[in-house]
Amino acid sequence: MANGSEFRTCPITGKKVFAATQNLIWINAVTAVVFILIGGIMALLVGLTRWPAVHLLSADLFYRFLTAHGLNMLIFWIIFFEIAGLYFGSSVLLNSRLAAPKVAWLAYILMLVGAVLVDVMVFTGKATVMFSSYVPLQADPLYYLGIILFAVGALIGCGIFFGTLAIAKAEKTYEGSVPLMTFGLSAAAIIAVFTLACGAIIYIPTLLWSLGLITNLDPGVYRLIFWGLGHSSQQINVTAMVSIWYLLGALTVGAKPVNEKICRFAFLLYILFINLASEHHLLTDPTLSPAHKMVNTSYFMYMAVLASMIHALAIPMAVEVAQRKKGYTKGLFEWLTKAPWGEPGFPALIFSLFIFGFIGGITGVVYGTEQLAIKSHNTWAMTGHFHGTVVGGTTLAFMGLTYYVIPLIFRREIIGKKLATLQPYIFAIGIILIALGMGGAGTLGSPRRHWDITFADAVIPYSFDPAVLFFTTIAAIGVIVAVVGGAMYVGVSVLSVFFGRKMAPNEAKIL
Amino acid sequence: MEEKHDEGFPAPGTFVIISIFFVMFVLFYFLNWKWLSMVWNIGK
Repeated sequence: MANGSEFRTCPITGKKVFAATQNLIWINAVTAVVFILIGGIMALLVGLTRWPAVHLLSADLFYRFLTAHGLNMLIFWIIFFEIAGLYFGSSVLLNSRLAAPKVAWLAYILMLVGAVLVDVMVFTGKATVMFSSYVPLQADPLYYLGIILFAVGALIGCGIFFGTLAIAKAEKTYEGSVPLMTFGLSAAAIIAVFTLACGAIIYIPTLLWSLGLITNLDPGVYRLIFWGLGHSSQQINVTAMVSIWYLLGALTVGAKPVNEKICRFAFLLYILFINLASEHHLLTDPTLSPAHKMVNTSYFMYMAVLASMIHALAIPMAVEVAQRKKGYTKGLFEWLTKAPWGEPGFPALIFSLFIFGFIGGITGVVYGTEQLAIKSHNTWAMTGHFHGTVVGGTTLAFMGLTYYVIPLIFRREIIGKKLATLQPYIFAIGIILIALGMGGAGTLGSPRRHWDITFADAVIPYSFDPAVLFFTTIAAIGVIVAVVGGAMYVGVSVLSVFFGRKMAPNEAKIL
Repeated sequence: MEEKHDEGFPAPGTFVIISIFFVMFVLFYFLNWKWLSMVWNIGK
C-alpha cells in the first residue's frame, strides 16, 4: 500500500518494521557512512600534517581539510545517523507507522543538498572558515545556505519523530511507558530542536551578511547563538549515545536497568541542563555577565554531570546484574571477563563507555571549569577531550549498533564477522592514543587548529617542550590506527548492506 | 517467622570500577588546579 502502512514482523524482536521506516533508516544510515568516509580521509590528512615528522599538507589545504573534517564528522555523519536512530526509536520500537514518510524524504533531501553544498564550498576553497566559521571570517553564501538547508531538514526529521510518537500513542501501538531508548531519543530530539533552531537562526543573518544585504554582524552575538548549535549538537550526540548504550546492553547481554525511573530522570536532567556546557566557549566573551557564567558553569552544569554519572553507574550495573543472573558470579569481575567480547556490540559498548567516561567525561568537566578553561581552551588538550566524547564515545557506540541494524532492519547478513568483531578494538585503541596524545601535547601548550607547531616560518621563533613532539607522535599513530578501524567499519557495513546475503523473512539470527 | 534475605549491593564489580573513576576524576581535577597555580604564580 502507498500510505506507508505495509510492514513485516521481526522474527527476533517481534516488532513491526514498516517498509517506509525501513527505507528511511536505510538511506539516512548509508548516507551517514558516506560522510564518515569523507571525514575519515580528512582525519588522516589533517593528522599527518599535525605530525612534524610528516607535515603532509600546505597551510591552505590543511585548514580547508580541517574545516571539512569537523563538519563531516561532527555534523553530517552524526546527525544523519541520529535521524536514522530517531526513526528506529519511534516507528520500530513503538510498532508504529512513521508519520508522513514523504515529508521525511523531503527532510532527507534538504539535509543531503545542504551537506553536499557545504562540502563543495569547503573543498573548492570558498569556505575555509573552520567548523565554527566565526564572524568576520566570511564564506561563500552557498556555504551558509547549505548549513541552513541541513538544519531545516534535520528539524523536520525531529518533527517526524515527535509525530510518530503521537501516532503511536493515539493508535495504542504500545502499552505502558515508551521504552527507555525511545525516552532517551525523545530527550535527544528535544535538545536537537533547540540546537538546530539556533543553527537556522544564526546562519540566516550570516547568509544575508555574506550576500552584502547586512553590513554589520556582531561577532559576540554570532558566537553566543552559534554555540547553541556548535556545542549543543554534541549534547544531542551524548543523549543519543546513552540511549544506544542501553540498547546495546540489552542486545548483547540482555541488560535491563535496575531502576529505570532514575535513568529517565537522568535524561530529564540532560534536557534541562546539558546545554550549559556550551558556555565554556563564551567564558572570555563580554556577552554574558560574570555572575551568569559562574552560576551556570560552576553549579547548574553539574546537574548534567550528575545525569552522566547516573548513566555511567546504571549501564555497567545493568550489564553486571544480567551477567550474574547467568551464573557469572565468581569474584568481582567474572561477569565482565565472561561477557561476549567476541560480538562487536559488546566491546563497542564497553570501550565507548570507558573512553567517554574516563577520558572525554573527566577532561570535559575539568576543562569546562571557568578558570581551567582559560588555560586549556585553545590548546590541543581540548581537541583530545572531544575526540574522547564524540569519537570514542558517540561514534564507537553508533558503529556497534550498526552491526545489529544491518541484520535486524536491513535483513542482510554481516560480511566479515571477524573483521566486524576486531573493528571496535582497533578503533578504540586508535582513539585512546589520539585523545591521550592530544591531551599530553595540549597540556604542555600545543595549540589546537594549528598547521605547524614547529613555527618554522614564524617571525618570532618558539620551541615547545620536547615532550610535545612525543605526544604529537602518539596522537599521529593513533590517527593512523583509528583510520584503519574506521575503514574496517565502512568496509564491513557497506559490503554487508549492498552485498550481504539476504536473510529469509523468518530467519531469527543477528550475528 | 519469615527469614529476611539481604543480598547486598547487586553489582560490586561496578562499584569498584566507579570508585576508580571517581579517584581518577579527583586526581585529574587536582592536577589541573595545580598546573594552573604554577602558570599563575600569584603573590610571587
